[in-house]
Amino acid sequence: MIKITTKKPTRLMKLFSYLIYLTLCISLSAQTPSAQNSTPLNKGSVKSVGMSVERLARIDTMAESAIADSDVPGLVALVARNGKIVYHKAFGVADSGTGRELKEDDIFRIFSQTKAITATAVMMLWEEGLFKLDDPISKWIPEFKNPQVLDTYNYTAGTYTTIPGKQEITIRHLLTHSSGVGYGAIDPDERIRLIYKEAGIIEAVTQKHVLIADNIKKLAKLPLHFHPGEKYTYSMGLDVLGYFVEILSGMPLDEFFYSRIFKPLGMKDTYFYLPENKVDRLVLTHGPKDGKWVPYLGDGTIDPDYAFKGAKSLFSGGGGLLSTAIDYANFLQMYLNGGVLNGKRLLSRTTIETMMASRVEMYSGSGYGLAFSVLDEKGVSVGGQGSEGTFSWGGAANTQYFADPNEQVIGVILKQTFGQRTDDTRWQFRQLVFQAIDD
Amino acid sequence: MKYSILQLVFILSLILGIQAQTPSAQKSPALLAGSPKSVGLSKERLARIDAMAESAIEDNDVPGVVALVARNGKIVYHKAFGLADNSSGREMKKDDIFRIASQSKAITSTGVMMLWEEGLFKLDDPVSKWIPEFKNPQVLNTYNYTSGTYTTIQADREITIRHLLTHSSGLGYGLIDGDERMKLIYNKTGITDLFTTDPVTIGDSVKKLAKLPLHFHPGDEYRYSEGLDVLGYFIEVVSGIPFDQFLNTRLFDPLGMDDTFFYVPDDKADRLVTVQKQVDGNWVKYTGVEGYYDADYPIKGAKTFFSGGAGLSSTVSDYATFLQMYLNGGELKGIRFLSRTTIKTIMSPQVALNSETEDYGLVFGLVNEKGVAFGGPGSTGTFKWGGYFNSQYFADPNEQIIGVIMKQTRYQTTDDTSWQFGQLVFQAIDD
Repeated sequence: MIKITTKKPTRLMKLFSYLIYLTLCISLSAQTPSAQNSTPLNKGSVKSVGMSVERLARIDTMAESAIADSDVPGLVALVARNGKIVYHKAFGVADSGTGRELKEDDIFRIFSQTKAITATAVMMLWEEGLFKLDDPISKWIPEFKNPQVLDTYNYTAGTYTTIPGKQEITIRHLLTHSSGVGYGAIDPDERIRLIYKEAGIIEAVTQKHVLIADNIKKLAKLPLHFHPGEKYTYSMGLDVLGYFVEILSGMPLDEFFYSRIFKPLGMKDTYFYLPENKVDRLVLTHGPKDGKWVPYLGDGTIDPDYAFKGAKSLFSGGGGLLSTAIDYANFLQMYLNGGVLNGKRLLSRTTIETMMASRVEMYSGSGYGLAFSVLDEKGVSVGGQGSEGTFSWGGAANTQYFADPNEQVIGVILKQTFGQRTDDTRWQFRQLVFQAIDD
Repeated sequence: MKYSILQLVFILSLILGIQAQTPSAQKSPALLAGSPKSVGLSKERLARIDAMAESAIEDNDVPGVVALVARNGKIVYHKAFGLADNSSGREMKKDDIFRIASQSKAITSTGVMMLWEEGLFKLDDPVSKWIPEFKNPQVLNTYNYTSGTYTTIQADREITIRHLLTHSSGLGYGLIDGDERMKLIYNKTGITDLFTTDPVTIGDSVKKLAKLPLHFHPGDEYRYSEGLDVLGYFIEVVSGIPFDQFLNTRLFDPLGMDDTFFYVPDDKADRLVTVQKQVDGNWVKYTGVEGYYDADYPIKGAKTFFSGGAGLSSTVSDYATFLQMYLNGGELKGIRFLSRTTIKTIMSPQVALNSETEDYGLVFGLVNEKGVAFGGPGSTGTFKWGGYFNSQYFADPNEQIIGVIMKQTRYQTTDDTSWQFGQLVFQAIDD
């Protein structure tokens, strides 16, 4: 193009260079076009994808009996295979107070299902060559320099001592929950819970005016559970990476998600904060009281109205998103397609291979990869969870998903409850989806 | 519009099919006769099975035998040799009925997995959720042989469905338990270990069994057990129907296993092979174990006990049909019994057997890689088991081969056919 500018450009040359410029702009700043042209998820017949109508109907029975038994007030379930939605139904109520019936396209707080989307964003930037997975995060967020590991804690004074971390926290540590970073109010270690509270860390959602930059810079100064890389402990690592995405891309996380992931994938109902015209589709969070479902008003940590009320300023990469079953299924379908959907390539197949292979030990049967929990051979022998390589996760308000690359099967089940321990649909749904395979 | 009885039966079975086994888009035919050559087997090599059977009978290793070989869904070998009853001289026939004893276990386990597919339980759920008598399991600590009393220690964990399927619950096996103390405890409590002609039900026996001490903490090791008897009762509790009816409606009828029963109906009683033993070089009727069971149990007595671990009688072709359903990935004749994905889990090693060459999955023993090096039978993943009255079977998903050999003897230690048959079937592969 420099050569072109030295001569007087012809009109054709001008147009040509403009086109190149346009292509470069789009491709450098966004997802790229792909020769693969998988369509977004659309409806198909159960039989055409090798599943059994009669066996899928067992999901109806499951849902109806779970509602009859007061295990859940309502649920939306979606099953897709080979890029076709073969089951997408709503059962029960979205609001036990008004009795509003749950609808298939209702919007749920997906909490930790946000993590896979943030991890995807990180890997999209990684594909641009902007960093290595084993780079220290302090290169972009200097507050993470000289990490400290918690040593002793004084419950009376709320003070603590630390020892220097043996190594710095890397991007890979943050993706795989092996950084040593804690999880505030939901952390298993009471000392970490108290330290986070004292520091004023927001775990995921709030109506207050907080920016992730503020939250993460404070978090960066807090002591770690263990030396970075030592083991898996569920953490706010993806919140840190949400801020990291903002720094690398130069745009707020909500804008990055929208322009680079939601829009190209057609995820038209996925947001950090709902636009007003969609608020009536938001499902109410419920909690159990005397064997009945009542509106859950929050426990001080989570105020469920954050979704449409308040400052709407915090973009939690670990737990901030709202979405629908079909939006999330489209996101998963992009992975099953090897990184492409609707002619848009978000990730290369080779990157996805790395994301599934780089795992830390989590518990028997599964390891945690760069975006998801991934089932191993042992997990297959446990039964009802899919074939080797099936990836899955869920969210705090009782939502679950899984996708099996081998069987090309997706399952998403969304409920919206807190404090319920007897909800069998959590495991039943997955078991029922795989037994419905009839080829 | 008039329907014929057959059409009505068909419609009825479709209606039942929705809540039981389900229709499938796959349409594998029932087992039919075919030529060895058409399925890549050598006729000459299969004939070595004839020689094996004839010489085993001549050597008094067995009084008679029925053997079946199938490949790619075709029966290519199905023959009877010798006598079904030496005192009357009745010749063995291909469709004769045998007490298959522990071959019942795979059928019971299949029933369990069908209910699992309905999402009714997790494999790692404690069985006490359905049979509360199993709460607070105890492990045997000391035993006093004089008084028959014992002490126990609290078990580390509860018994799960998976433990029961894989013989890792710590439950014993009474009459055939290797531990004398267990044998005595089970006998004293009046547990029905195998078969009976008395008017007992599995519910009665299992609830008593649930209170007895275990060999070890659930999940700690593999030890052959009455776990499948417990699961037969579990099926009754979960499905709400008697176990014999469950197997009839969910497995035997749809699979066309018309000669498989807990108790052989009168009009088929003459096809039941006599259990025999060697006395001074002659085959004589084996009557059972005094104080435990009468070997005529399939055709005699109260007929109320449905043992999921040992109670069934069957034929080689019925059992081969059952195995073919597994080789088809869970389907036969357009009916889906299990999903291919469930079979994958069933065929995943769950516990190590007391053998380096085999593991135990959820339903069968499984030949592992080392087993192949050892000489089989079959390729990795071949599943197999056998029964107390000297019957054996195997099926190789890789080679799509089934072998079933049934005899009906006790106390016979020199019967080489139990290993020869497998060896001869696989050497007959000629493709």
